[in-house]
Parts: sequence; structure tokens; C-alpha cells
Amino acid sequence: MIYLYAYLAVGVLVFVVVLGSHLISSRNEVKSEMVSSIQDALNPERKTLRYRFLVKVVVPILTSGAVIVGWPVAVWMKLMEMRQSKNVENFDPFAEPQEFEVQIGDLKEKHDLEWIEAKERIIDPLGAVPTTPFGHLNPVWQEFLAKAPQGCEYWSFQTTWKTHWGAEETREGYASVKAGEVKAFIIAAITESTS
Amino acid sequence: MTAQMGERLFYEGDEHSMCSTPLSGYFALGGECPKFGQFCTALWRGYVGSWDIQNDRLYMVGLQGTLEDGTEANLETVFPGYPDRVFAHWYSGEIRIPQGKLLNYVHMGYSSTYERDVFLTFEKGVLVAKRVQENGKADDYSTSEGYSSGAWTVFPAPKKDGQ
Repeated sequence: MIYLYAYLAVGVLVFVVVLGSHLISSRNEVKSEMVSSIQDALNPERKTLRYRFLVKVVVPILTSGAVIVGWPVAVWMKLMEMRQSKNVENFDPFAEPQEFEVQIGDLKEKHDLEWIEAKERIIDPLGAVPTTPFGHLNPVWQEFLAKAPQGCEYWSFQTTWKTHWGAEETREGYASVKAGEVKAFIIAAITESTS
Repeated sequence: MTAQMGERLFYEGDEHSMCSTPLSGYFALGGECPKFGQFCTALWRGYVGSWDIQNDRLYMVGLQGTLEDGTEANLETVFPGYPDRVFAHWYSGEIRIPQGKLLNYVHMGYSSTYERDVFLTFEKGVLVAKRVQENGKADDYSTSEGYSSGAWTVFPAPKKDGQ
């Protein structure tokens, strides 16, 4: 019998802690009148005495009883809730996506500028692309050349990249390298992973 | 998020809806992206492109959209000097063409599934492979064929010049 009292005593203690935690968190919540009005409009029963009696009296009494009697389950649920909210805190949907950079290890082969421009000149039988290097993306190539420092080397690169939303891509292009550092790069092709 | 409108593709004599957006690859490579307005929840990208495959090469042959300031956009808005046709040399990837009846509608992106998917693989704008994936048979034979997005919300576009 003493074990039963001890079990229920722990249950009461757990109930007090859970209740205290709930009261503190609901005090920090901003009560929106607009949300309440919308909820009342969607469910007119909310304004009735019966509904309020159920929500404010009956449910709390039943919940307290359930926590006192089934406190191991309540403790486990609280721990799961705390773990989940920690995961949510760590995720920032508005975080700046990691910026793509070419690393020295991604470099493949050194090339002449003339070789690159000849390779990236696009021929189309219907004339639907400029004959300049990189076709419709020639302005991006010009921007890359403007950033390339005097006396640098030009290298091709290839690497895999994980986008902000988790998709994997293969990115290939060219980089200007000087003194062992990548100074600028242009992505010439992005291939989506189809796996 | 709402199911998104597909791009239009003319292929093998037919018009199809395409659940891929090759033009986004152009922007990802640094191509200048106009400020498309987002006036419809089923068209977050702000434009609908029309595509054609000729001699196994992918061409963009049209673009319909509205810019943020209310101006109508067309192909030349993105590719000045090319009003009729642009070779999609930047595109390497797989285009998905849903076909047949709807199996499972998902009100998000291009997630709905249809009886069949045709996948066309391109490398630098050139078609290199084609495969067909069967996804099952629809129970409800009154469902119409082909891809479509469900309900959406339209927001008014701004009028130009203070109209």
C-alpha cells in the first residue's frame, strides 16, 4: 500500500510541475483577439456555458487525474515535447543558404582562355543562341573575366553541392586561380541528381 | 503551398504539361532574372514558359508572365533580341511529363501523381534519353486526362501609370 501512496505522491509532484510549466508558458503567449474571434466564428459552441464548463472545469480535472495516475507517461511525453522543441529551435527556415564556393580540391585541369572559349562556343542550327562563348550566358562569362586577376591560371572544376532544400547537384565550370587560391569562378553546368 | 501550373511543351506533335522549369536553371547559372510578380498561388515562379523539342534540341519558344510593376513579360524580356526561339543550352537534367489520369492529388508543387510519367533527359539542351514510368491505373475513370493544378488564389496585379 505504501508503494501506491508513494506512486501517487510522485504523480501529484509531476502534476504540480506540469501545471506550473503550463501556466508559465501560457502567460508568455500573446493572446490575440483576432484569433479568438475567428475561432468563435468557426465554432459558435465555444461561447456556450456548456462548452466553457467542459473546457475550463471537466477537462482540467480529468487531465489532472490522468497525470497523477499515469505520471510515467506524462513524464515521457514531456521529455519528447522538450526534445522536439529543441529540434525546432535549431532549424531556421529563414537562415541564409550556405554560399557555394569552389575549393582547390574541386579543380580538375588547367586550360588556356582560348581553349575554354572555343569549347564553350555554342552552335545551333536554328540560330537560337549567340555565337559568343557561353551563348546566352556570355554576360556571366564577361563578369567572371573581369574578376579574374592579372596573371592567374584558369582551371576547370567539378563538385557536388547540396542545395538549401536538400537536393544534390553536380556543378561544373571554371575558376581563376592565383597563388594557390581560387579568386573567381563561373558555373557552366548544373546537373540535378536523379537518384 | 498550392499545386503549381506546369510549363507547356510541344513534343512529338502534341502539347503537354511539363512538371519541370528549365528556365530556373538559366537563372541559377547567373542569367539575369526579371522581377516577376507573384499574383497567383499556383504560379509562384511568375511565368509560364512554352517549350519545343526540334531535332532532339530543347527550345524555349514563348513566355507569359507579368512583372512586379504590371508590365507583361515575354521571351525577349529574358532574352533580348530573341523574340521567337531560344536554345536551352544551359539545361542539363530530367523533364517530367505526367500523362494519363490523376492517381493522387497533392496540393503542393508538382507532387501529384498520374498514371504515367515520361522522363526526358537533356545534356546541355540536347535530348539524350527517354524513359516511361507506369504508376498504376486510376480507379475513377471519369477523371480527366493530363496534368492540372487544383484551386488557387489570384491577387490583383498593379496597374501601370497610376491607372
